[in-house]
Amino acid sequence: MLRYAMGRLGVAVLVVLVVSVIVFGLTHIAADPARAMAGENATAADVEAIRKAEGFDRPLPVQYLEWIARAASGDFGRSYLMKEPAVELVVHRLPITLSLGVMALAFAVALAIPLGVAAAVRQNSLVDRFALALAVLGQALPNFWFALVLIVVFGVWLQWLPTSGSETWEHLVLPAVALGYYATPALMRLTRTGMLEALGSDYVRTARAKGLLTPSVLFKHALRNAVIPVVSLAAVQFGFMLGGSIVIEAVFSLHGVGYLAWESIQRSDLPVIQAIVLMIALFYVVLTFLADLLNGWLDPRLRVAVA
Amino acid sequence: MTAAQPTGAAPAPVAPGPRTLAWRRARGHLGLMTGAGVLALILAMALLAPLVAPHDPYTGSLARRRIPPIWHAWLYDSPKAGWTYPLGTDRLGRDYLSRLIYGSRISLVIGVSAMLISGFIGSTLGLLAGYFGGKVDMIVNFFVTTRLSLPVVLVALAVVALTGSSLLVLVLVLGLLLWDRFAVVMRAATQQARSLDYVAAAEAIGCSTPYLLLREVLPNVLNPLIVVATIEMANAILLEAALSFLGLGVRPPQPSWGLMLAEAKEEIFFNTWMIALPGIALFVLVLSINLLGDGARDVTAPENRN
Repeated sequence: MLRYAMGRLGVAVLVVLVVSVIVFGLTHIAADPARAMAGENATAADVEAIRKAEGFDRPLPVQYLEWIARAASGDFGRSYLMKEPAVELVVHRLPITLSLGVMALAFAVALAIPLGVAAAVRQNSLVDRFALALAVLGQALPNFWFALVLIVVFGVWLQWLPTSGSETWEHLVLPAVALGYYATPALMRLTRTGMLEALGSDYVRTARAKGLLTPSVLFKHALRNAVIPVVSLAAVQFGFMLGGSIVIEAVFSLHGVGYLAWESIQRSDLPVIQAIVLMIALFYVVLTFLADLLNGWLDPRLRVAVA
Repeated sequence: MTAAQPTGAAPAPVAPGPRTLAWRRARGHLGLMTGAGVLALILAMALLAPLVAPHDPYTGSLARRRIPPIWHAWLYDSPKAGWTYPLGTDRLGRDYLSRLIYGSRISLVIGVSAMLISGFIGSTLGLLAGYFGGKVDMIVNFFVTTRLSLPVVLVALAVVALTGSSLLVLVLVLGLLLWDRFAVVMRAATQQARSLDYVAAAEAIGCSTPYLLLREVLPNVLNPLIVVATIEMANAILLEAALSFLGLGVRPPQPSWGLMLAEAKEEIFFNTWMIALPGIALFVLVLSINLLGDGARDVTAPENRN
């Protein structure tokens, strides 16, 4: 297990390093940091002065090494516009995005697992067909449009829930639904497949033959096995949600990390963009690493296969 | 044998080949046929946009701003609504129907081109990883993991915004970001095909590796490839719409559906239909592509249906 964990950890660290090169490269090739820092009204001389002063005229690899060394100690530089450390800006906004992500994932799981189990237990029944139809329709629904529809229906017509801002948990309900439903089809399908497989397997048949009641077999034996891949998919989906919340945060004016990213991108605030992309990537890598560990712990066969 | 057959019927053919069988299944598959039909309609609409669209999508008139769609005449007795602008006009007085029709061109062009680029990158990587295994497999696997840890919307948004958005940049960025699923699926399919007898036989008689990959393996992994292609095309279309909606994708006055939604967002309290229409258009297009993909999977690999 330790060897397996170390192997996974090595890959994770390497992934983060490569991502950091990509993030740095993209922001420095796609934009001119000196110009972005100088602002829109700067003269060419101003830009050149900043380029010299900040060392943007040095070779890119040198700049990268300096940047990554600082980033490793948590210093991504200061925002060009807000003059605050980029990391502080992100950390300040993180709670909103994290609570949004957690609520969205909770919504997705709460919908996906019961539906997936029901669809598998009653395969090809009305429930099953309904679940599959829901999955197909859900996957085609653009999330920002669904968010607008939610605003119109629950905010404007029914006036049940607030549609912008982030003061109370109620402000997060509609955004969480808009963000979470998109993960539901994949989670539901995986639960259904896993349950079908588990229900057809020998140990479930044995359990049934031993005279165990159906609910007990269903939840203690079948679901426990079916849920393993669902857990790692959920971890991955959580990572995607943090990255994808930008659209939802923009629609609902939630001032989380996504909103910050949107603002920073519009203003070419490179340090903040770099910090956000790298932190989300790091978060995703940590999540998948933990999911790998969990899987390796639950299923010893994996340890041999990958290590 | 012959007596059992009604006279005049075609003589019993040899057992139908897999292609004939797949075609028969396809014709009986409701989802596939619906998806293909709707997609064909949208495609025709996009190609014939100048002929189909009743007005110019770019010229508006301030005198004809915010005309409601035709059903407002039936439901709410709106005096402004009429057949001249069946789906109404936007806040600049441009015909909504014509903009929707021209918008399908943007979605389809971006969807297809991004899918082709990502398909090329992903399936090449997957083919190599699945065929050679070992070190190559490990490297490709690493690429996929790295790609997955980059948040797509954020990176696409940043690159498109920083380089200045154009259709070409948009297509390239999406193409370079959406290849992961191609690689994963291709790798698995190639591994399977590699263990088949005829591949081993071709290898044994000394066929070159490129020949083996392109002539023996590739044709046998095309089916899953088609399914992934539909998924990624739908993905690219949704992403373009999202980027344009955030104001950092397709530029105005282009009639991108995402951009139309961004403009309609200002009217959310007054003209709900303006939000409804481009969203429904996107939904129908993506749904038809997904139905086509799901159907293709059912038809070509019925054993994987669950």
